Amino acid sequence: MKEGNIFFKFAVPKEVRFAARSWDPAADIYDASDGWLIKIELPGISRDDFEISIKDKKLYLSGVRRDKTSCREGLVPRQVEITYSRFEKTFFFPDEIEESKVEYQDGFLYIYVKRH
Amino acid sequence: MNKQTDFELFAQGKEANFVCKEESREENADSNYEDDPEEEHEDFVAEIRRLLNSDDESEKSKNQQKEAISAGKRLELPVLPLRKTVIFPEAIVPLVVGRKKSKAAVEEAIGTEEKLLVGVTVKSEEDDGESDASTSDVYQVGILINIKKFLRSEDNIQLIVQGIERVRIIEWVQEEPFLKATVEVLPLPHVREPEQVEALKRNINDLIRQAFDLIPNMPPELRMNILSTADPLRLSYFLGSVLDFGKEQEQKMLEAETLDDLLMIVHAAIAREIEILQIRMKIASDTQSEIEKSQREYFLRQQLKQIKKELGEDEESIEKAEVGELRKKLETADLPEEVRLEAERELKRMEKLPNISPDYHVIRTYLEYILELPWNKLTEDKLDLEETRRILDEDHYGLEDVKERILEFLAVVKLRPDSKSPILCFVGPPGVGKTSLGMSIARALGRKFERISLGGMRDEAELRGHRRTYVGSMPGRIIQALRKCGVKNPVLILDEIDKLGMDFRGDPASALLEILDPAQNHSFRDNYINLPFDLSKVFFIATANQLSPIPMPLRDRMEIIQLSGYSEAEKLNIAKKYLIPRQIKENGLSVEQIEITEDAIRFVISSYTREAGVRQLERTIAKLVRKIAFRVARGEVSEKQIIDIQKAKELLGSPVFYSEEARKELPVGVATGMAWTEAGGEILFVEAALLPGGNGLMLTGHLGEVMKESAQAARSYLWSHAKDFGIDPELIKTNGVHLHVPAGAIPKDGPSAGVTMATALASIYTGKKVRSDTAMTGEITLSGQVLPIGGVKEKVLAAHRAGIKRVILPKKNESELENIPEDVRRGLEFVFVERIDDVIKAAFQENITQKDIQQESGKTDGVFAEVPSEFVAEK
Ligand SMILES: Nc1ncnc2c1ncn2[C@@H]1O[C@H](COP(=O)(O)OP(=O)(O)OP(=O)(O)O)[C@@H](O)[C@H]1O
Ligand SMILES: [Mg+2]
Repeated sequence: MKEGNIFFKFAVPKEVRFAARSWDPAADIYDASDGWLIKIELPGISRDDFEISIKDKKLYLSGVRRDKTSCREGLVPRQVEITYSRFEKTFFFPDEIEESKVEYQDGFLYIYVKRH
Repeated sequence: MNKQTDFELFAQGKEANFVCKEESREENADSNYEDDPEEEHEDFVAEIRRLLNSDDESEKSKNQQKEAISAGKRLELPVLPLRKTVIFPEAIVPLVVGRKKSKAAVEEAIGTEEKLLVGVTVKSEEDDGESDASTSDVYQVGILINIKKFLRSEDNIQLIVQGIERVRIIEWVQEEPFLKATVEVLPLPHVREPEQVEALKRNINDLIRQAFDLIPNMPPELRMNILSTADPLRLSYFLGSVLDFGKEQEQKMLEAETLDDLLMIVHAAIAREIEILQIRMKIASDTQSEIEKSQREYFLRQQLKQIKKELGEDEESIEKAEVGELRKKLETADLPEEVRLEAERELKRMEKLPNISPDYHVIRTYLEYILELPWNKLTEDKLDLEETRRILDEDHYGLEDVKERILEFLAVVKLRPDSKSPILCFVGPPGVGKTSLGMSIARALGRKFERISLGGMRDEAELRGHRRTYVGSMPGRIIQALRKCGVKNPVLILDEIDKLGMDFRGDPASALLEILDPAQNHSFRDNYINLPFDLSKVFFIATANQLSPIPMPLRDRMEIIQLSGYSEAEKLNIAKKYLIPRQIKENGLSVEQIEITEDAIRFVISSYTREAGVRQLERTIAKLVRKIAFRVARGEVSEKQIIDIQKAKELLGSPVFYSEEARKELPVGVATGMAWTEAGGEILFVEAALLPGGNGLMLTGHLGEVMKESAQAARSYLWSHAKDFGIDPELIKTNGVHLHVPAGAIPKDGPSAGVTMATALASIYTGKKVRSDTAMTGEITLSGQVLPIGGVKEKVLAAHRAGIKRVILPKKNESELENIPEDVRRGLEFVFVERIDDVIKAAFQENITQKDIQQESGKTDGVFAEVPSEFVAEK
């Protein structure tokens, strides 16, 4: 039995926060006449590193943002604050969706989703 | 149809619409808005660019993980030994890394593309703060972590990492210059026995609630976070992260392969924490000589036992001592025969078990519970009706008829002491004194008092307990309450009986029915206790805000006593005679030190509260008094403090509400209605707009079916009698109309807004404004009748509060006016109506009907027969 501030055991968190299982890049969704536009903030993602799949009313996006900089010999990291991590995101739509087109511009990933 | 979509093309590696151009790095370098390097730095910049663009990536990046990280996958990663801490999946943890090998492991990980490594906790407690841990020092199960932040400083590295998945070390790959191992990703803990998981989950929730009670100063965000996490797995990991269960327990949690095991560890750990907290609190308050001797002894013994255990003293003797102690208690306890037999049987079973067996503890807890239940303990009733009256008056202002009815019931109890206690049910808006009346009754009868909140209870087991087969099962709330008050005849308040839920876990209402049934409740069987307990001596009092959600059979079993809201004058009196003196006393002041003027109280009522009851008012007064008490305590003031309007404003900040809620002028198409709500009543504005070229009626504002129908009836009536109202029927025919009842906490299922909608429509069709000082309520029929509605008192009080001067009510509600306090009645002009025509006439500034309808007489054409009574109901 630990002595001391037993009353505060529950009260003081050990400086830990809870967060999503992995990184959760921010996304905007726009309604368009015949479908939707999803815009995701994903600078620095390489095109081999993510995957999109569509099933019925769901669009599932998963991938990983890798750090291509710190693995160069001769560059030694001093501070790293940018998140390099896996991520997963599922988008739900009111209707079944099908076609899609993907664009990448200025660090944003655009996914066009058409209503079925 | 060509299924080959662009993204599929893209996935196949064709360029498609991918606008991330490779050349932006090299050929198009200037378009990437970088300035040309200055002359003397050219070499330096060029060198870095060369590094960035070179093809020969280091060895580290080769170790790239292509597929998803899922159970069974093997990875070869650097290992970071963790001291004193266990990281759980999803937890974000700051770490400071100072040891040589650990730093090297982190350096390795940060140089990779994905920044992954494995954290494993060091077993031993010893820590010289310097030497590196070796492969044999750490546990085999650890956690895959991702580095979220990395900051190198002079002699250490600061990290923020996040746990991702549990892993097991399969093989060590190297020990120098840092630890490295092949690990296998472990699956999520699975459910072994769903019932067990469910029971544990509920018990953990109960325990958490208990813990919250014991720790009043717990940060509210943390509280919210815990309460809102429904998934037991995440909740367990979260609790493991924020609470300090000790390294060993936490490692066991991380290693748990089934959710059952995980929850059991969490349950035991929290239960232990609570026990410790409770013992401490009891012992702390010992000096105030509040605990009886036996209870004290019990807690001291618990502590002693704990200490002995810590000292490693002989388990067996403790065990014997425990059994002996229970036996002694059993011998002296006053128990019904059936209970004694059962208890003896259990005690014999317990004797045969070793104390490491979980059953041993289950039985011990059970026996302790049984011995503490008040099987035969009663308090003596003092049933002096005059004294009761005095106490009711002492605690509550007004409420004459309510007090009368309470006294009538108690008189019956007095006359026939053996008759079943009546079950009272107070129904009314929040803060009108339902719970506190219950407390007064207990005080008047000289009975103990306990409160059970039924709000949101969905599970029968919460009332009735869980069967004793599961570790950590507990009795239901009824038995818990009885144990707490220690007698079998307390006043039990069942708060919020109208908020009882119901779902697949069983119907608590039916359990309650049995509990309240005098024919059955003398042998109430809690699942945990599993012996009949006599509830017939309990005085049950239920409270509710609304009558309608209470299931009919329950309602039948109770004596319903309605309380409605207070008028401003009543509130003033309650404040003056009850709330203020109480607050003054509670804050250690005296009437020589503080006075709140009547004007100030009125001002507080109208500008800082908007309620049917007096709870906000009480809180606001408490705030005022506290502020003064604070100043007095600090010696800032010595003379008597008179709080007038000015001073109140100064102390409370700018007013929250403005009593001028009624609008000065209404635009065309808007009419003021009155609605009954759980909170007592509100005024609302119904808005109508023409839709040129459209047709039909459009309705918005979450209206129920009944309300939609009355809107249609209103429109049709106006249409068919357009001429009478000076409306051009063409206008109705060629234009659509939109009716909107602003959303809010107002139930819109009743028909009582019928007249308001008709008035709003008449306004939009005639282009004339509705009187802004007038509010109305009433149901309408297609033939133009105005039918009576419910909740008149609440509605009128609300209109009065809102600054309305005239109220239009159905003629048939006229008799209810006598329930409305004098001051309100005097402050309002009432217009009683029988037909829509009367409403319209009264509602408009000018008389817009062509026919001369006599307002006061309420004469009808006599064409329509009396309204059948089944139509005359709203609530
Ligand atoms: N008539 C009254 N005279 C004196 N005090 C009153 C009166 N009515 C209510 N109060 C006080 O107002 C406060 C709130 O009352 P109480 O907690 O009983 O409300 P309630 O009706 O149970 O509300 P809820 O429905 O929210 O549970 C209490 O402090 C109570 O003493
Ligand atoms: Mg209450």
